[in-house]
Amino acid sequence: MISLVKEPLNIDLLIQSLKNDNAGSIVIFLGEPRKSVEDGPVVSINYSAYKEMALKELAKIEEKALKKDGIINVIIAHRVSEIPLKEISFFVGVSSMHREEGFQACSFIVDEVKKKVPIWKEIKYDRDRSC
Amino acid sequence: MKIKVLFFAETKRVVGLDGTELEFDGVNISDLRELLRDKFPSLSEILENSAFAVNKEYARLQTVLKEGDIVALIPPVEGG
Repeated sequence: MISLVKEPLNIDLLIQSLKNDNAGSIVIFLGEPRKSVEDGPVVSINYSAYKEMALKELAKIEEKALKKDGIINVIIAHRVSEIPLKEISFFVGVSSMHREEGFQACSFIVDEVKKKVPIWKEIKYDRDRSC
Repeated sequence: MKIKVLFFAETKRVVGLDGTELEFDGVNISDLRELLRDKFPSLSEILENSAFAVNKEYARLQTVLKEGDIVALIPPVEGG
């Protein structure tokens, strides 16, 4: 399953969707805004996307991941809205027969999303605290 | 021929538009890149690092364009 959503991600529900009687492992990656970057303290990150193309690219990545040996289910969800600190912006979940292929597939998906999916971020800084 | 060009993120901020329709008498993405450089000089630097998509698929500089194509200028992606 792939999704681009504005609203907060329901992590419990996503993990529940990955559960499968044949799976011996569920690997999860959660992305969230860092509190500060080189240019100063961060308030939030506003993500935008070329949504139609981003969904196509996500579907390709999902398909490639599902073709890997031992992979049972894949969920890739990314928010496209303003994400305050502490909220999850990016979820990747992989259920698999064994943990090793799950870790590898999860890492593959995160790398591919960061390289290929047309999503961009605009960082909002806390200017009161950056001086 | 007419080509629609879409702008996102940094390119959208620099140009101040979501997109534009251009009269294009070139052949491929490389030619379109030159046209964009002429029309929007402020894009010059970003164009060096940006990719292009034609009808929602990544394209090469040699990709030939046809009437009605929708070309997206894709600055470096930052998801995750």
